Amino acid sequence: MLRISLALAALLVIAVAPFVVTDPYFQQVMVIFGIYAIFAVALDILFGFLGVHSFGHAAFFGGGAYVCGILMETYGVSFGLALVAATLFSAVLGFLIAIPALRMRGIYFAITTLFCAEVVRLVVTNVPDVTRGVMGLTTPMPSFPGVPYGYETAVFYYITFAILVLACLLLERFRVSPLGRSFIAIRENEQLAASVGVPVFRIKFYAFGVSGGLAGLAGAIYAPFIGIISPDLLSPTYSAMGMLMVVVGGFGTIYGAIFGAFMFSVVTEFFRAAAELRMIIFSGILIVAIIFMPRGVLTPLVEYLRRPSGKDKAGLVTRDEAA
Amino acid sequence: MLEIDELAINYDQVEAVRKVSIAVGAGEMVALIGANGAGKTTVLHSVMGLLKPKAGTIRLKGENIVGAPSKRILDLGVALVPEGRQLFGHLSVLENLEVGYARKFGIRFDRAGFEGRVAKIDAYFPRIRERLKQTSGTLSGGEQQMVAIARALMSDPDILLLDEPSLGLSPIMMDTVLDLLVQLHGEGMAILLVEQNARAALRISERAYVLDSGVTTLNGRARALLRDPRVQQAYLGL
Repeated sequence: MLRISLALAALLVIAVAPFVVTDPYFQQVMVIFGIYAIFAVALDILFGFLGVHSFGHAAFFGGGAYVCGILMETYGVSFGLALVAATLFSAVLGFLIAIPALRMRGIYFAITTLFCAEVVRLVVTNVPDVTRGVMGLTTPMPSFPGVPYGYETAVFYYITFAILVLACLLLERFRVSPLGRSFIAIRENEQLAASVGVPVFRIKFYAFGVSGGLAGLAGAIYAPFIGIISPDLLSPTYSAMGMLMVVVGGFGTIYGAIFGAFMFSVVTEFFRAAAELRMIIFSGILIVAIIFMPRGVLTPLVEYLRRPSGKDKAGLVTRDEAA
Repeated sequence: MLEIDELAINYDQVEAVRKVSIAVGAGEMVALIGANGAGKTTVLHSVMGLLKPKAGTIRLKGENIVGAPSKRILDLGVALVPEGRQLFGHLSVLENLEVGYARKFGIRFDRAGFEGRVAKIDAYFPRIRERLKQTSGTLSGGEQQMVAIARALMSDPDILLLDEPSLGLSPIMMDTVLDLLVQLHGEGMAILLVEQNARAALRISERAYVLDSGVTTLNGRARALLRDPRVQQAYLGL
């Protein structure tokens, strides 16, 4: 009941936020929050659900942004079609990177994902005829029929959060499904999962594609919203940012990834007055959060809310009680 | 049913198993005893497809399964109960059983088939019946062992591989687990039982192999091995 109430409250907040926060700058911050949240949720599929530590997710985010930008700017493709194409591109890129990466273990896996992302960044940097290289690619603001001038940010806001809500609903449903439990089984003990018949490689392979596609979708919204993208979008900085969002919020929980994105997009704005010191202060907060709340800032709170009530506990016997 | 012939397995440069030959017939209970580090777990993992042997063959129902994926081996009717009652500790008992049914799933989970299988094995595990929704990591050691065996049975195996099922259990719980194995064997299931508790393993098995430093050095009727002075001296403390 509490979960449903919280979900409905969140939906209500999402629905009315653009009417309450009318400042255009802060509306843009909310859209960036939504885009980062989709990116973080995409990474959480691999990192949190499967325990696969991809260090190259910027390739999917940036790849999606570039495909969307090129299609819209160079070929005049509509925003909707460009979103679909960018998602498919990043999903295929995910499958391609998964093939070599999943044959590696531990640090070699991490290096392979990082290396693959660097290859994508170098390709984007070195084909200026298509991507404009380090000059950056301008991406036109899409036209939304019937939307008056000046309200594009609100449209981006609702598109972004509709995708985020849909992704979260699907993932939550997936998380409690038998297939979702196989993901958790792989995360907990890969060899044991394999020994009971869980197709470990196949699941990881598909997860890479889905995660890459969703990250690419986030990038595809980002490109026309920001208006200009550069190869920096494919740098390890963005991959690290995604991982930090997931870790700080609490991996494998979905809500943790969203909270991490909130920290990176909205909370950093509170320190804007500190100018150059902003990121130093924020980094300090992250370090403290990771040291004292290694399972994520929100996880202890959520576990407290989810603790069994007296009624729920009646039918169960814990180890201590049994002894 | 299961024939392991001249098996050799290396961990990098270390020879974990040098020359192991074991046969388990249909419906037979066979024990594999040996000291710590003799290579018992390594043998089971290679049968399950988790380790690739350096040499030798593993035939299951006539098919050479060396290099086959674990799923194929499960499909041929083998299931492993790993050492240390390894459960997916964050999942409930029922969810562990679902994962044990994993090889059956496609995009759609066969819920009716799963529930039918749970109902079928339910009678073996009265202690865990009321704990189905409990997080498996909070169960006692004996209950965890029962869940580990139940999870292996979810794939409806013909042969069960058990790795040290009595390890760390109280004597009463150990007897309960061994009684369960006798019951399963009595109903026609083949069992390959790896145990450090040689006396208990030899008492309930029909045949046994002794593994010493990666080599099967002795084999024969379990009761005969119980009386063998070499076994008595090395593994029974007599």
